[in-house]
Amino acid sequence: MLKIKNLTKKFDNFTAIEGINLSLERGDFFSIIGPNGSGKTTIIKNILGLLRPTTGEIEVDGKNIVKEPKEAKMKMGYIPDEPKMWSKITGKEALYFFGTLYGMKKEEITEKIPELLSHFELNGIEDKYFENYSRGNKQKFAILAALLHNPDLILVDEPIVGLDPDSAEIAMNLLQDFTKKGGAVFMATHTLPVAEKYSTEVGVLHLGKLKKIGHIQKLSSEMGKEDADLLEIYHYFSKND
Amino acid sequence: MIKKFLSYQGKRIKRYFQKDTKARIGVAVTMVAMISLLIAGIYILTVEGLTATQSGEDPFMTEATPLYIYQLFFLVIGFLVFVSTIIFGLFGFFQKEDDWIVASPEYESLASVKFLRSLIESSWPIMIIAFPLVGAVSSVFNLALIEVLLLIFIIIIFSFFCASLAINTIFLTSLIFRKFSHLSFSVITITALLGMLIWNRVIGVDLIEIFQVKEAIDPLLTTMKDNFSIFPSHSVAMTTYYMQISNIEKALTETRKVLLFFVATLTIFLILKSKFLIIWQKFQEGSFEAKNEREGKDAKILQNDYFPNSAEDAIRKKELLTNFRSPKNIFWLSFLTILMVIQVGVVNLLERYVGIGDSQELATAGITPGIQIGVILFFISAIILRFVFPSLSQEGKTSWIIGSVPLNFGEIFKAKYKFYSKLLLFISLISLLVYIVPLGVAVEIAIISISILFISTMVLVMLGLGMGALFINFETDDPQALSTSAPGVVLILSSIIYSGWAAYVAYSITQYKNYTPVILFLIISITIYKAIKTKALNALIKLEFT
Repeated sequence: MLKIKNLTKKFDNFTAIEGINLSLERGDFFSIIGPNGSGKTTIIKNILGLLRPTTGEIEVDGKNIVKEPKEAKMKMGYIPDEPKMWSKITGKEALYFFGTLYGMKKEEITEKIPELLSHFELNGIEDKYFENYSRGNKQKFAILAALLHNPDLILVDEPIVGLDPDSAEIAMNLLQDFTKKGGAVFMATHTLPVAEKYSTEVGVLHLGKLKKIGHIQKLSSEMGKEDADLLEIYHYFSKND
Repeated sequence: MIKKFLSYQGKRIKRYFQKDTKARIGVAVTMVAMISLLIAGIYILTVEGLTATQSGEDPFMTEATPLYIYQLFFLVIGFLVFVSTIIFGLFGFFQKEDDWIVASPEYESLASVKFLRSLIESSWPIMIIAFPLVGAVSSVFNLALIEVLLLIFIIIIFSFFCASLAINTIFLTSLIFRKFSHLSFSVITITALLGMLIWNRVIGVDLIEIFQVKEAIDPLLTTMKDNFSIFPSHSVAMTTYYMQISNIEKALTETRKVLLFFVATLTIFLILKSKFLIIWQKFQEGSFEAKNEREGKDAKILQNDYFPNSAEDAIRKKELLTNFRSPKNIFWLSFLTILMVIQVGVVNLLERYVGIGDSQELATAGITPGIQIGVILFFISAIILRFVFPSLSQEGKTSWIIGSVPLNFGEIFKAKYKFYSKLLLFISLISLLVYIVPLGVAVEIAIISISILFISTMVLVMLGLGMGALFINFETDDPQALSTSAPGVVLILSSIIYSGWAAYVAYSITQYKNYTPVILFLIISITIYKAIKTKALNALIKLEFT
């Protein structure tokens, strides 16, 4: 589903990420963890085509993001950490806007909107402007927009920031269901308990380098502590190669 | 405060040149060169004009005509400062980014700083128009240094007065709006426009009266004073006139009046400043009414039937919805509509001026189509600077949408171009009808005018959007900051030069039936259009969203 080969991104003389290699299959729920500035968002932006890789290759379901950006983007959905939207657009209009940009027909979108809104009990506020939504509701609409066009891969940057506990659980369950139906999730997060609960694999990123990838149990075995939690794994692998 | 303000501005300029230094120096040099050319042009033309008035003994030429020139100059300067401040005030005073300052107990300081900034930033017409005029007056009438300094002083005070009047207008309008929140913004705007139309009909400057009494200088000056005395710029014009005839005592009297105007508006601002917080709060709420998230609907305008049919259509409709639902944008557009109303006034004036003869005569004389096209393109350039030029940069904060969807930036560029070119063609052609219909212009001239306006509008939109793409700036989404950046200034000056050329071409065809300039105009227009489009699309392909 997602193949990243030797990805490096430099900003002038600063190397943000270096030599990233990664592969996700359908059904995978991958979480990348790392401190602020370690390069998590840079990886996501490279996958999405928001940034252009300095070197390396990214393929989404066989489509190269640099050579075939439209085809690759068509297969992805994105939930940003800051769901900034045009302030005078309503939630419903935003969903129509997203759906149309991903090639959906009006009828398809109209049919799907009520179902999506019901996940977060957003029915009734879909005709309000974005500027009048709380941060959490903005985030909920961003999640729904990412799910709307049935993508194959969802990229999530801090999915539950701003969400209340119930909504956070709903959001994570939606993403988990998505992987069970054959999609793949690439998530960047600082919320380790969430990553621990939902991920099939985690990656530890430190100073732009992917230090370790694997299932949590496998990684804890490697560090010689079978019952290690993700925080311990994170500390261990971010300091040791 | 002034010291801190200047230090901040100094650092701002320094920061600007830290990134892309060579390109930005190039833009700055071009900007300075173009401004210098404009200043030199105004100076030379004014010197020639004033010198010509002094060639005979006739007091109509030696005194009345210069006074008329001063009245028009200061009227235009005052109007430009007022409108600039309205634009700055609407976007500068109520920025969400300032919420941490407004949250502090010193929130009123923010109003003071913004007030000071608007006085300074909106004073650009002084440098570009007033200083060359002062230079010309000084050169033709041999003013003493003290007289020149006094003139400069009074012009600066006049500019400050116009700026503070604009800010007070914003504050007062907002307070009225808050008090009567059941009135829609459009009702207030339409009422204001109708009021202005009536005003325009009732109190027009009567040129006929002025020129009919040219035989006697005193009644002539009295008539002119009566006609212009309704404008605050009158006292500055009179100061200049009294300087010209070396009547310092009367010049000082007029100076005191301008000072008094400024002190009055400043006092009103200091009173209104205490209301800054509640106005700021209302502007942040967007709809001027605090509402529970669960209550009611917001999307009353352009609702339901605005579902896009294609990706490109989605971008166009997004532009439409976001632009026309914003009270600030509507406010801005209303002001441009007021400018159009003023243009109606100018046409009325022309009708009355040639009322003795045949209005058709003047309309077909060649000069009016040129002037009208120039004026319309000036307004179009102003809209482009405010809406089109910042349009791509304003996508910075929503780049996660624009960048991640399966649509390349070139397609977004084209969708935006189609949207803005259609909108501006509509506005420019409507403005032209305002000129064509009342004067009953000949079909031939109407067709020529429409064609030139059509081509020019398309080129200006491409120039604005293209420059916005070439100098894309994701550091801010504030249209005011983007418009007043160096590339923004270069854009407006390029637009003015191009518009002036278009006006000249229209003049040349209608006056001399000379079609040679139009061929060159067409070739250059197509070249500019193609070159900017290619450059912009190439730049957008390489664009990254950091």
